[in-house]
Amino acid sequence: MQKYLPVIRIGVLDALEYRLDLALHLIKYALAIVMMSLVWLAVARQNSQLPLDQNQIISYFLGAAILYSLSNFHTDYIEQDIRLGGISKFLLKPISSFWYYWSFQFSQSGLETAIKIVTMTPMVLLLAQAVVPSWPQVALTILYLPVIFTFSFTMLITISSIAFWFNEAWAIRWSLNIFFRFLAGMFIPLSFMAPYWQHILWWLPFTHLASTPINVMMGTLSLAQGLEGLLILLCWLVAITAVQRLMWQRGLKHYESTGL
Amino acid sequence: MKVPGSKALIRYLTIYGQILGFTLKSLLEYRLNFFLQLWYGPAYVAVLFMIMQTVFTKTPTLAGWSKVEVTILFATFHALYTFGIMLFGKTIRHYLSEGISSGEVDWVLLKPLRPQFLLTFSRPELQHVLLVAGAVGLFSHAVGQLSSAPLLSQWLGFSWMLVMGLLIVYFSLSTYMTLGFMVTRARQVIELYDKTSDYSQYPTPIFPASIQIIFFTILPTAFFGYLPTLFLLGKGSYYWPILATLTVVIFAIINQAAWKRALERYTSASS
Repeated sequence: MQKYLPVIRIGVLDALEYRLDLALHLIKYALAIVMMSLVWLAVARQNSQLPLDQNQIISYFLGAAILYSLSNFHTDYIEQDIRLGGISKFLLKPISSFWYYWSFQFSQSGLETAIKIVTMTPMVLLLAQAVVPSWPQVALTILYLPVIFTFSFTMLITISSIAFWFNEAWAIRWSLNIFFRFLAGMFIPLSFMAPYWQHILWWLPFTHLASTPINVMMGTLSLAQGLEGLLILLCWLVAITAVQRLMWQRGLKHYESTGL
Repeated sequence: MKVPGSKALIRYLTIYGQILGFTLKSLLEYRLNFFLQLWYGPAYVAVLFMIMQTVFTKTPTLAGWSKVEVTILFATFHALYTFGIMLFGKTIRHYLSEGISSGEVDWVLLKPLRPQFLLTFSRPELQHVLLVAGAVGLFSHAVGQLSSAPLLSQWLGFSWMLVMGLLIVYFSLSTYMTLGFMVTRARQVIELYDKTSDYSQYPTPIFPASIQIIFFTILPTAFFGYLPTLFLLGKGSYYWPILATLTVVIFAIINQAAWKRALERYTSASS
């Protein structure tokens, strides 16, 4: 694993090379989610029967903005490597393509999340007048973070593997990614949905990418429910890893590069 | 009688027609890819539509707007904005993210055409045609559900506001594009613009006053859907078309000044 540490370091330096670009990138996604909270606040002003009050809505969406970078990123560089023959370097060297890409993406997503935790947590506590979470709630949420990232990364690299067969895998990845964000509760707190939808979504991985950890922090889900969600996500991680390995191996048999 | 500038306009429209033709041919070279690309825009908008539908399961009106009225606003915004993005959005995105910093502008400056034309219109994104068609279909369906059909004057005002809205999209986006000449990496500017624009599918009054001011000035997204729809629904004042026209004039002046300054500032080496 030590050989991937320089990849993480280079990834962080790469992200910090253009700092204005990084700041705008962070603002862009955070702003989109905060705007969504304003829509729901307008609804809450007209309907006092919503499952969350106005402060909880603000807390929920600021929490979603913090977690966003861990599950929403673009693996277009992997598709480019497949298309242009960049995979060849992994076939010749004693490094795993999966862990190389994982390390690079982790450096970027980890840095973005760390910056957002530092800048947005005070906003959650001040703007939303949120109750300070207990240590077990914080510890469980921290446990969620690497699992959310690894599951999302494995899922996206699986989708990017389509580039072994089709040139334009990005269109499929983009289309699926937006549905995943919706199902994760990035745009709608899932408690606003009908109970049968909530029940179905609980057994899918997406709810546990954002909605479950945020609700654990807010205290609207118990620690036991939070642990159950984490276990469900881990099971899905095992399943998606198996699919990813299979697709990558099959893709490599299909892969060819000339003149590199 | 000859209208001044008409010859140049016809020339540029002819060239743009040829660009559209080349783009379509190159897209159809890989038909499966083109087919897949057709769907990512509608998939994104389908999710935004589901969010809007969920909003209306919790409230009958939003800032006094019914579900049908917000659906008209939603469809108007997506048809207008996506049409703009289809015509010039991809070109602006390309030059802003890499074209300017990599020195590609050199090739544009050598051609006997206005650089702004080539730097904003040379790469149309025809993959959005399905989304535009879908939004127009949704608009027709929603207008048909209104209790009273809009009057001719409302349609005329709406059409005028749409044209002004499209011009405001162009002038504002291409003005922000000139930032690409000032900083090395400015791609996020258009992404930020794009993400914020998504919220013009909701009635502007649901947002706090400070954000409404931004939607009428720095990011003039209120002109992309809210104001035209207001007019169509008979809720708009006749001052709005005048305000929209004035806004276009102001944005055009700022745009031309920004482009003049940006092109003077442009340098490249060994590109």
